[in-house]
Amino acid sequence: MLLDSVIVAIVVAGAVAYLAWSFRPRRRAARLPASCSGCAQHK
Amino acid sequence: MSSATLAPVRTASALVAVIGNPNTGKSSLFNALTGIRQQVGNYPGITVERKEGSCRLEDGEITLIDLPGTYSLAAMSADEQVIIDVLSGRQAETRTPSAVLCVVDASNLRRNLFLVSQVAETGLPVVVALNMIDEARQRGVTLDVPGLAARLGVPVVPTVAVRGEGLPELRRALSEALRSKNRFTPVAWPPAVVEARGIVADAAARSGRTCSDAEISRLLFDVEPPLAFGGMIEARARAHQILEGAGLDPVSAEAFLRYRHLDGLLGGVAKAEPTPEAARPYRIDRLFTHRLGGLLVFGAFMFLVFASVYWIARPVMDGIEWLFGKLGAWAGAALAGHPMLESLVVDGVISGVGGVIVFLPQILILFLFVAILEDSGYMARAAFLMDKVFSWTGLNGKSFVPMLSSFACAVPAIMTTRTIEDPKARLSTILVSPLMSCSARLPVYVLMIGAFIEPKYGPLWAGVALFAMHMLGLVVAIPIAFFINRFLLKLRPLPFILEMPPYRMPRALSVGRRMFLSGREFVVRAGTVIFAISIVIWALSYFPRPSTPNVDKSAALEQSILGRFGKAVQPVFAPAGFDWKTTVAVLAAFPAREVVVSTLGILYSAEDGDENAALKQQMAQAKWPDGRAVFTPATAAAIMVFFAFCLQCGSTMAVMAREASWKWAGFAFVYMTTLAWIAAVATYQIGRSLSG
Repeated sequence: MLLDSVIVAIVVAGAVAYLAWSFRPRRRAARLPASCSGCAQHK
Repeated sequence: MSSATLAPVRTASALVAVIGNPNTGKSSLFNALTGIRQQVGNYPGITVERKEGSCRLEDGEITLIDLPGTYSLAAMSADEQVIIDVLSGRQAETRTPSAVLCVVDASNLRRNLFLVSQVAETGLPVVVALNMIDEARQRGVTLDVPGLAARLGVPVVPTVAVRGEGLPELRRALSEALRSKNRFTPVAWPPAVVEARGIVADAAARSGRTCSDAEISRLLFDVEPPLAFGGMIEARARAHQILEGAGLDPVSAEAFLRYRHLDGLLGGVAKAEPTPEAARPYRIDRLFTHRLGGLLVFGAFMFLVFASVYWIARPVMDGIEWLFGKLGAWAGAALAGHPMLESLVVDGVISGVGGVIVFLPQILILFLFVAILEDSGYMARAAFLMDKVFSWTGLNGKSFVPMLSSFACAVPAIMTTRTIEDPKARLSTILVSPLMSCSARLPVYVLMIGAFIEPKYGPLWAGVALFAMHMLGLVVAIPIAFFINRFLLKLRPLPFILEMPPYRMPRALSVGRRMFLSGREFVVRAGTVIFAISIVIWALSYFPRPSTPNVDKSAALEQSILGRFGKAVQPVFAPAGFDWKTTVAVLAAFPAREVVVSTLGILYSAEDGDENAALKQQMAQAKWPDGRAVFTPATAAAIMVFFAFCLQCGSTMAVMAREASWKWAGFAFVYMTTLAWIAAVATYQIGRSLSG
């Protein structure tokens, strides 16, 4: 019974840790791209 | 200030950048050269995709880096900024390339060579892959390839990437280019431009910067140059005065002069005489891009896609559920005598894995259709058509592409908004894209429609209901985009430029690769999160255990952390007809909506392991204390509407925060959740009053 509890605790703790790692803050882009006003260059 | 005199490079350590206009088959060529030896990631700090792969040449192995598709080096979007940074050696964690492979569409040589002439100014050796040469010939384009190579001064190799034609020659050309200098015939700038370039180059040199010719062009001609230094603004102003004095508009001078140069190079080596056969496939565009007929065709295509997702995937899903049911039963028997472990394995682990795998048929079928629509060239027509629908909202047709991609998953779709140059148009597209019905919403639709619509109204109405749920997000997104653009962002309308690729027969390999990659992406990225959430939800619904043994499972759930929380919050959702179990499932689904069915499965004790069938049965039997059925068609519709509008996806939130900011991610969460609650309450109340 104790072993069962330990296994469950490890699995649940692992899941929580994985979620925390997955949703960790990441570096974001410094800015949005510059605005387009030179479409003539695309023609 | 040119860096055109590069020392010969050793191929073993060489990095070759692959660059080209959109729709040139650049990615197909990259895939053909690298096979599956690819690493996909992001450039540091930004979410522009970074794709590298190994390519074997006769005398060693090189690394290819696939740069985003672009028409020009003028940096107007994050993608284009990355391209100029990589080519200039300014991109963090990326070596300076030793050469550039320019992929050009042989049918649109003049426009494609515009980019090549800009790239060649970096001083890096250039190889031109004249891709889709077969289509060009069919369209009446005749090319003197050796003559073209002589005029351009660089190796030119005709290729058909999708069939692997020309690849040995291309590998040889790359090998040779890595040992050569850049000999691209430079643009013969008129004296005023030479003087203006000199002013900019001198100013850069005074502030300690050594710039390539390509960077000088960007500093001189770009509206917003990709780099800055002290004295740049003044130098640009003086240089622009000189251009204007010579009758040249600084904004359009580059296009005018470069095209004039290219026209001179192409004269006599490239001829286009469109054949009647070449024009024939486009006659269908009269229908596909027709204001009314086109919309009807688009609607029919979309109905076909989503009806297929529903009907074709169903037997496979049933098979997966049966399999996991059997697995659960076997595990339950094997772990008899260990109730806690048995519950974890059966209700948490197997249920969680099953809840991920069961998505796969739908995702694969959806991406099968998306890949076919894109590869056939229809997607561009749909974007053109939708521009007419979107233009009054302030969005443009480019917004449609991420919005359509959101029908599969908002996460990659939000990343595709990088193709939209204007930051405000991009932001509003990011904010409305999650309203599209992503594939993760499908299980709740399938469950509710299968349990409460299909049995009562038949399979035809079940298909109609599924189609309607998918269209709901699109219909609501348009006025919301209008509101956001008009009152929040005050967006000015932009011209919409979209290239219509020729119609092509989709290739099985390309479609298969898309399906495989999307499936793998889902299982690896989303699936692992869904699985972890399933375990946490199981723990919250299992603990604390009642002190008395052999207590009823439902009573145990009621006493759990999740049960207590759901009961406390249930009054908020009561006007939408949700009972406490539905409320718990809704709350548990906020990090990832995919978990809702498995959560309902746990809460409604789908004991025989055949989750969906047992769950439908349990839900159909659920009663309020006064004996009324908890689930009616009105409740089912309210639940579906809530899921259609609510932003229940941590991954989407994270991507929104990364692409815009946490403020905008928070805004999207608040407006979508509020909208979801109001719409669910309205649906339930109207549905209940209509059914008497």
